[in-house]
Amino acid sequence: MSMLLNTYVIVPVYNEASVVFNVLRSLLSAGYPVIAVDDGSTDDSYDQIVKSGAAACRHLLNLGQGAALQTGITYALSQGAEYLVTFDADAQHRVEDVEKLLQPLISREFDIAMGSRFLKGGAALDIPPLRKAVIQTATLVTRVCFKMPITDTHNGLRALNRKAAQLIRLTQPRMSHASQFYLEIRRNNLRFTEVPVIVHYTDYSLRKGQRLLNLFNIAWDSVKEVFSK
Amino acid sequence: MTLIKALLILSILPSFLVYFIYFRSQVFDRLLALGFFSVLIMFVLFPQLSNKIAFLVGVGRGADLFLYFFAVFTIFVLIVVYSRIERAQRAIIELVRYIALKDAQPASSSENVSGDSNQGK
Repeated sequence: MSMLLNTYVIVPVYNEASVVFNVLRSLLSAGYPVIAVDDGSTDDSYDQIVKSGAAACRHLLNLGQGAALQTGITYALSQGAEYLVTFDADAQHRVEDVEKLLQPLISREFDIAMGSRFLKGGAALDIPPLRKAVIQTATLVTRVCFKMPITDTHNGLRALNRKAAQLIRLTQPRMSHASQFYLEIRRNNLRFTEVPVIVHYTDYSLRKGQRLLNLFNIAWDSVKEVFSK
Repeated sequence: MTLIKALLILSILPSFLVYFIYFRSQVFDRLLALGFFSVLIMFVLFPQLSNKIAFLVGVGRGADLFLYFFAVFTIFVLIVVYSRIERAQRAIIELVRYIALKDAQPASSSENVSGDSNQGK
């Protein structure tokens, strides 16, 4: 399992004090080095991160998940990581899926592996039907705009190899980094694939989930991004 | 719609684009804004002049011409201000990231870590 030491799991954290400790411990117990980035939380998420034993850094201001991921990526690269995996802090993702995402990268077949809830073998457990409909609509729009065969466009579980991590720059505000991610993949001609994963929606994570109105912001930012090229 | 008016409108958008892509600089921005502003003041001070020019280019009255100029001036200023804000935001992100990475705490060994968290609040 020494391969694991070349891997870094990046966990962006914003006000997840009640679950982040357990999420980080489960990753650390599985043997992965972890860097958790506290994106200006107003609760004591940061203390929980430090207590868990994961590497920790914090943004003094809330900059958005994209910026938190970019900071985590920069840190992981500086530690010599060969493989980087992004993982949500709200206990929706399964630790077992990390290994599934790494396999296509380790075999050198792909530069990027993205988790998908909607592939065969994947699942979105207990997802409210309205949210599922909205996500699938957004996915369809993204597929058409970017002309990429993607089945799940807003999944925080992703793996990159070192090369991809060095090439990708996430600069979009708030949650629009997902769309920018695909633009970056295209721009750098990176090889990508999707891997089925299981995402578990709990009452906790749903209450904190993306407001539907946020999707308007994402659309706005995406349009801006396309035009700023 | 007279020919001159159409030509004017058609030439405004490309000039905007060309300016923003090639000629931006703080000096030029200020000169341009000053130029616009002077024209506006002139129109207010010399309404007959604005009427004459308006007639020349096919615009109804001097006041209309003033309005068109004002619209262009306003849009220009808004674009400049907006891009300043965006640039400032990018700088802030870089600063916050620099501090975050500088003060990063490396992973610690888990001897003193208990099996379950005690809830924060």
